[in-house]
Amino acid sequence: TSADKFTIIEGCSVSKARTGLLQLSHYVIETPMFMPVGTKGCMKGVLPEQLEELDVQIILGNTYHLGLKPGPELLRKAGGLHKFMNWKRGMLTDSGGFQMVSLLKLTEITEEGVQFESPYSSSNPSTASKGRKKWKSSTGTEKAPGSPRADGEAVVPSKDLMMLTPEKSMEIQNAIGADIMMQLDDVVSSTTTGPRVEEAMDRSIRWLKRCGKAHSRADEQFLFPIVQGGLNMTLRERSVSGILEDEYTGYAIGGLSGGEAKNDFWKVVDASTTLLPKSKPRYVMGVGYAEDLVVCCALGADMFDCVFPTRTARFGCALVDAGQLNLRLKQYASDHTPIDPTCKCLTCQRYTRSYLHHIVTDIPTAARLMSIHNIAYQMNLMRRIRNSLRVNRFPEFVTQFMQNRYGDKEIPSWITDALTSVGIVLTRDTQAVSSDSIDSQSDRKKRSADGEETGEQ
Amino acid sequence: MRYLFALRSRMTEVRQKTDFLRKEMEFSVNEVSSSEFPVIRRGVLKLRGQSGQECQVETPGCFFHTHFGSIPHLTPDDLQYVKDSLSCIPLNMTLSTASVFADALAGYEKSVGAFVGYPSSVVYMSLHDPLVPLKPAMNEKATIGIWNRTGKKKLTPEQFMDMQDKLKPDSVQIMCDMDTEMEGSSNQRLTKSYDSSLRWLDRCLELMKDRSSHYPVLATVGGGSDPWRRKNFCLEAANRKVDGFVIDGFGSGWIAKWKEWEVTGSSLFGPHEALIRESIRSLPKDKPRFIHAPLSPTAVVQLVRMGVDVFDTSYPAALADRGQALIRTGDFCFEVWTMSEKGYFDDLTSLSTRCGCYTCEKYTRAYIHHLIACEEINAGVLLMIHNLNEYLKFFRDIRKSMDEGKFHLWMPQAEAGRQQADRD
Ligand SMILES: [Zn+2]
Ligand SMILES: [Zn+2]
Repeated sequence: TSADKFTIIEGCSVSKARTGLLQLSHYVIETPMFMPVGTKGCMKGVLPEQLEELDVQIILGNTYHLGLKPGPELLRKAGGLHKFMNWKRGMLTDSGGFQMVSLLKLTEITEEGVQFESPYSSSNPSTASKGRKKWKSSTGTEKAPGSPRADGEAVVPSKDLMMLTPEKSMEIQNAIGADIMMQLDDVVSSTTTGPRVEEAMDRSIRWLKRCGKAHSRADEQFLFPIVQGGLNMTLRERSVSGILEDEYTGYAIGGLSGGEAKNDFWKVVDASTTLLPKSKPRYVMGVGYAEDLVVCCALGADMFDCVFPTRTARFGCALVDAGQLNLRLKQYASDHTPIDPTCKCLTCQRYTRSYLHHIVTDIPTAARLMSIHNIAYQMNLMRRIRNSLRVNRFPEFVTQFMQNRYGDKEIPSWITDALTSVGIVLTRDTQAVSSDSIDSQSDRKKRSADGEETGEQ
Repeated sequence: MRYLFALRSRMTEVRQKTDFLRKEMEFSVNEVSSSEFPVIRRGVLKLRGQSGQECQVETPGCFFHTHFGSIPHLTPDDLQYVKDSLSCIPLNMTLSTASVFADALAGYEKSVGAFVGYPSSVVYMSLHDPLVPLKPAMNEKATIGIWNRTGKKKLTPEQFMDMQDKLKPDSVQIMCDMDTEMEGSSNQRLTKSYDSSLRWLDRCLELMKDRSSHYPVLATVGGGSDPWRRKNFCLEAANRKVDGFVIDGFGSGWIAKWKEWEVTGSSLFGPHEALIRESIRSLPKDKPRFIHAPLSPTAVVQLVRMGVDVFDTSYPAALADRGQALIRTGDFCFEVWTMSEKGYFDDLTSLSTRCGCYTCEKYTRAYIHHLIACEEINAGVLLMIHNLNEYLKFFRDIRKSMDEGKFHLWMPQAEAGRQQADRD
């Protein structure tokens, strides 16, 4: 059944890029697709209707945060996060494991799960309790300590420790009710080497099987496995073959975007997409810079997420093809042009850089306006990629994009290497192709394609 | 018995011919007095913007309170969820925040309304943001101080008019010295405030005559806590060519004090009540009276009864800032709910069962509680949308009750509403 959820509409005749449709419970998303991160049950500063207006088709929620607030119990009672937050389209939740590693003092990873210090114990002594207890709900009410493992509940051996198990992650993610859930994986830093990488990779596969067993809503929510193995291609290969023992709707490539060299990054993405089945969507976790998105698409990736576009917006940085504009800088004080004259978002239609410069650090509305533009930028970029693929002009798009981005500066070698490896050769004297013409051609084609597909959607 | 006096005037017609460049601000009002109620004023205030857009404000009514030109918490497209449209609600910008972008507007071709994201709005520029506490000791003999994030900016009448010329609003509150103490300002200080304010008013009017820019202007009725000075100030201001009046100048911190009085319930405006009555009695009936403060429905009803016409939406914004919702619990009753309270954690009903706004239709109390617990700015957005709807509907209902001869119904229930609000 999972086989027919993903339809490839067009593949690039040169690179590994492709555009397709992924049918989820709540929405059919177009790929390649970027997923903005709405950590705690909302997109900071952007209302769901505004996200729809920006053509956002799927958002990401964080299981760790949602598990604490408002907690799985209330989410179940509310009929899932979609209903709770008034979001009608696609949603993906992470496993919660990454947040524990990055936000909390991690004490130990055992075969049982990820053990960490309770976020409550040190700062709020009133909520710390003695003895074993379950995952705390955010009402502040403690539940009676349950039997340790039989019910799959997380238990803690001492008052300051909590544990996230694959079963617990699934339970919370089932309560959230996202269209796509991620397996709990054993996360190691992407720069780690040695036997720990192998251990984490093997354990992630064992945890995947436990996740699959604990998953209670398999018909509504797709479980995505995560390919691990650090920067070691042999381990990546073993990870993929372990994962492929069962069939899944889509696959994630994890353990990247953690400070590894870009040269290592693209090689792992490239190797992983080659190993994974061609007929399934591939999700590269934690990727959000425009050039990374373009390169990863060329390497055959279909889905991405990153907090960067929305986080940088709140600090006053606007994304444009040529890079970023830091609107806090004085040079924008009397700049009466929009962030991007070609952008159709509310912010660019209504506001100048000058006004944004004057309010950017002072009022919450500024964070809203900046987030709206940056999400619009990400969505436009993905749409341009999809449109160029539909008219089989992806290599031209990539060439034009990199020229716009780097201008007279040299294009980083990892980008030229990565693109060359899939047959897109960037040269200085490449005939400049107007991205406008690609966009308008593909719009025409898209319109006719949309006409044919209406029945299907 | 009730009908004593009705009046209608077109201010533009009585203006001197030299004022032909002046943009229009028309006010027509029906004022009815009775033995039970001092005044019931029901009117229409027409404003015209630079690009020819018109704005008809039904009074009693309110303008959009803004901060740095933005309606707090909202992006312009959120106004689709607010029943009253931009064509009947002008933007009330404040010089204290707008001054930061006055210089930037020099090379800007469109209106200040367009600059802040509301191109179709008519803009009125008042002096201070009612939600930012007035800093004391800022006025000197020749200048007023405007506080913004870069610190204190001193303005002479010339500089004040220069700044207005850069900002180009559609109407202006003239600078005045409001920096007296609530109580205990010396006679000397009060005299200085009185003299400066009148002198500045005259100077600004004079400056406008010499310049190409003309704005409908509002004079601020000050005079501190001294009834004699207030009355005289009103009479003096009424003799000048101004289009309306702002009731202010009760001394620094008056807004906070009013709130305190309202909560303790002794008297809504404390000793200021007599001052307001005196002020208003001395003002011409055919010109609009403004007040800039975050006022609860109870306070609004009282002030409307005293003859105030125009308010602003700083109250719903102030509530949203604090994570509070204005809830109508009866035809004439309001409560203020603090959404961070534990009881809302798993309350999956809509915010208000009688409201029906975007927030009430799409979200639950539990969700708003959750957003506040996570310190998400979306909490303020959803609360602001609801509070604005509730507040603007309240004004519609006041007007409707006047039109139907039922304004008196607001009184006892409003008192009850106040007491209920106190309990929260
Ligand atoms: Zn934009
Ligand atoms: Zn409502």
